Amino acid sequence: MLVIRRRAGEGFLIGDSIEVDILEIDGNQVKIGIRAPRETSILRREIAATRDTNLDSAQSVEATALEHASKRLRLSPPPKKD
Amino acid sequence: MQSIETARFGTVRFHDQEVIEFPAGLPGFEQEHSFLLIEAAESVPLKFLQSVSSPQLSFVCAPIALVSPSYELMLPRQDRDLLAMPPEGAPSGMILEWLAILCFARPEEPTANLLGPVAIRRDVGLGVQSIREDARYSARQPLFSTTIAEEQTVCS
Repeated sequence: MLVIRRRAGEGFLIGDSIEVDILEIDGNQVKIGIRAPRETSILRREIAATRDTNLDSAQSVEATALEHASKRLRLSPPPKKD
Repeated sequence: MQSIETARFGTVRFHDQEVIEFPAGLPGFEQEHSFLLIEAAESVPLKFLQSVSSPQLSFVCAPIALVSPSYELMLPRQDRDLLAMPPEGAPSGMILEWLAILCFARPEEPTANLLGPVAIRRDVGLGVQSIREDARYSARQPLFSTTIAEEQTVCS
């Protein structure tokens, strides 16, 4: 991994067609501007994690696995009501 | 009444008002905007998010409260907008149901996505998969603390 330090207002280039700008730094949050070709996917990491999990979850599931899961969920203690 | 031919349930008949619209689709399925929420007696309490436009596509879900009883619900502003909710408070008559999509990639060790739960407004038929902005939960949270195989060994 290449590690760079930048201040607000500075930026860097990735390859020929991607530009990253550090726009603003506010406390523990940084605002980043990214210029890239439309076909380049830019995904927050947590969205990528859900995307990958969704793709795996969309596969067909064996009936026995479903049966086991539903049985065990039925046995779990009911949620406490506050 | 409409109907679709599904792999899991065969022919499913439904009214327009049963369709749940996901304006933003789901990550990885951004073009999937219309789903039905189906429950079958033999698989209660599981529910199935069945795509209307792609009949072969369905997601197995479980109520969040059963997967994680102490789960703290949160809805960022942009997801409230997708559910036609005001920035604060709940519209009267709102019925919000929270589900976790389950993954059976390893059939004996199913996992639940607690990083991106699905929030569905049953009263108006809107849904969103809301990705948390904190790092508290995993997208692949084991559903059970022991695997099924281990359990069978203990019981026999």
